[in-house]
Amino acid sequence: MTLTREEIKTTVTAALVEGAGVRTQKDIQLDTLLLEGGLSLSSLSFMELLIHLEDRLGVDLEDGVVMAADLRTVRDLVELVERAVEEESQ
Amino acid sequence: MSDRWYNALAGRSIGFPTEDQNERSSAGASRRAKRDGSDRLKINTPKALVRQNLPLETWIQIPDSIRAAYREWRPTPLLRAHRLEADIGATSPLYFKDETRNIAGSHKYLTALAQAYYHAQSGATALVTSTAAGQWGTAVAAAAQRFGLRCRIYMVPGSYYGKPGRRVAMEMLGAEVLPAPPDSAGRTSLSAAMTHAVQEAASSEDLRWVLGGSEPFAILHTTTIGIEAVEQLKAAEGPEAVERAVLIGYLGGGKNLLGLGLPFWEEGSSTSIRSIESTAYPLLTRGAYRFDETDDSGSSPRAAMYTLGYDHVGSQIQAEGMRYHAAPRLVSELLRRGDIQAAAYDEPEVFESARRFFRSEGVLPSAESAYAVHDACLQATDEVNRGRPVVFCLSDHGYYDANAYRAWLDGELAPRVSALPSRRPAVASTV
Repeated sequence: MTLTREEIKTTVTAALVEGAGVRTQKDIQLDTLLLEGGLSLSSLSFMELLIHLEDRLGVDLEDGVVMAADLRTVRDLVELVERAVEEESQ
Repeated sequence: MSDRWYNALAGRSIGFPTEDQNERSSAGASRRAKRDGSDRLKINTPKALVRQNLPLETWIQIPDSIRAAYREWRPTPLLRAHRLEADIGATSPLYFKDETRNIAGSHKYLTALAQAYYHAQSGATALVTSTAAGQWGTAVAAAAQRFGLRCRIYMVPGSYYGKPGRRVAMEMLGAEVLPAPPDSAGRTSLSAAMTHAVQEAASSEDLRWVLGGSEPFAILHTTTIGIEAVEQLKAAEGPEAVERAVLIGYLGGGKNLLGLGLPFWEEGSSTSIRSIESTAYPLLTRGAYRFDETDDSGSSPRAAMYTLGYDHVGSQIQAEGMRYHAAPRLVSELLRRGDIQAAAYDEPEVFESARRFFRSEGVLPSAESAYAVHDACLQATDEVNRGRPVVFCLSDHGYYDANAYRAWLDGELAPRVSALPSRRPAVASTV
C-alpha cells in the first residue's frame, strides 16, 4: 500500500472527527496539540483511535513503538502512522 | 472451564457517548494547573487490552497462559445457601458464586492476571496501581509476581493503617505498598490514590499504570464467572431457571456485578441484574448522568457516567471499595438503557446480613460483598420473586476486614443516609 502524507493526514483527521468528538476536519491542523490546548485526548481514546487506524489502513502499530513515541501533535501521530505504512509496504 | 470471555459491547451493541472536543477542552482548562505541565501523550495501556474495550467481537479467546492460571482454581462452585435460606425464611432458592477461593481471595484476580499478562507481553517490567479495600492491590500483586513484573501499590490510608493483614499479603507477594497521599484538599479516597498512581506512571519511563479496575476490558475478563454460573444453574435448577434468575453484585468497578450478570443475557431476556451500593455513595440511585473526571486531578480519562461529582467525598463507611464518586461507564450506560436495576442500603443492616451468612454458610464476606449478601436475602424473601433463583456473587472474602466488623460489633456504625437530593435528570449526550 502506498499512501501520501496528505492521504494519511486525511485518514487520521477523519478518524478524529468520527471517534474523538472533534467537530470538523478544519479544527485539526498538523500543529494541533493532542492534549490540552488542542484535542484534549486521553491516552485511552488515543489508543482506540490507533486501533481504528490500524484496521482501516491494514498496518500494525506495535505497543513498544507507540509507548516510546514522542507524541505531542497531530503531526507526530501522522508521522507514526506514516512509518508504519512504509514498513508494511516494504 | 470456558476458554472465552463474553464481550457485551459487541453482543448487545453497546456504545459510549463521545464528549464534544470543546466541552472536553473547557473541562481540561480548569484542571490544567493540577497536571505536570507536560504536553506529551504518555501511553500506558497495551493495545490488546484497548481492543477489548471496543465492540469488535462478541466472544474473545482467552490466551493459553491466562487460561492455565485460571484452571488452578476454576471453575469456582455455585453453592446453594440452604442454611441461610432456612434462617431468613426464603421463598426462592438462594445461590452464591464463590469467588473467594484464589490467592487474592477475590474475583479481581481474573482481570489482574489478564492485565499483567498483556502488560508483560508488551514489554512492561513494573506495574503501579491504587487500591482501596485492598482486594485489587492483592490481586495485582499476585498477578504481577506470576508474570515476573515488579509492582507498586498506593493504598488508601484508612485501609493501609486499618488492614495490616492485607498489606502483609501484598508485601508477601513481592509488592511495594505505600499509603496514598491525600489530595490537594487534604482528603483521602480511592480517587486521590488513583491520581497519585497515574501521575507517578506519567512521570516514569518504567512504571505502567494498571487502570483496569472499572474499564470494560476488566469487566470482560470477569465474565468467566457468569459463563460458569449459567451452566451450573442450568444443572441445578433446569434450563428455564437461567431466564428467570435474579442476579446480584455490589457496585465497585462493575466486575463482580456484570461479570456474573452479562453472560446470562445470552440466555434470556427477563434476567434481572441488580447493582447494590451504599447510601453514603448512592451513585446509581442519586447520581447525575453526565461527563465527569474519573479521578480528582483530571489526569485520567473523562467519561459519561452516573456521578456525585469528582470532588464528592461521602460519609466514612467500612466498605472502602465503594467510596468512589462515580459509577463505571459500562454500568452507567446499562442503567441509562434500563437494562439493570439499582438499590442502596445503610451499612449496619448490611453487616447484620453478613453475620447471618457467615454463621450459616461459613464464609465471612468482605465489607463490599456484604452489600450483595444483604440484597440477596431481601430478594429471596420477596414474594415478587417466589420461585425465581436468586444468585449473588460472593466476590471477596472478608478475613482482612476484621476492623470493619469490629467497628460494627462495637456499635460504631451509624446509618449513613446521604443528604444528596434525589437523582437529577440525565444530560443529553451523543452516542
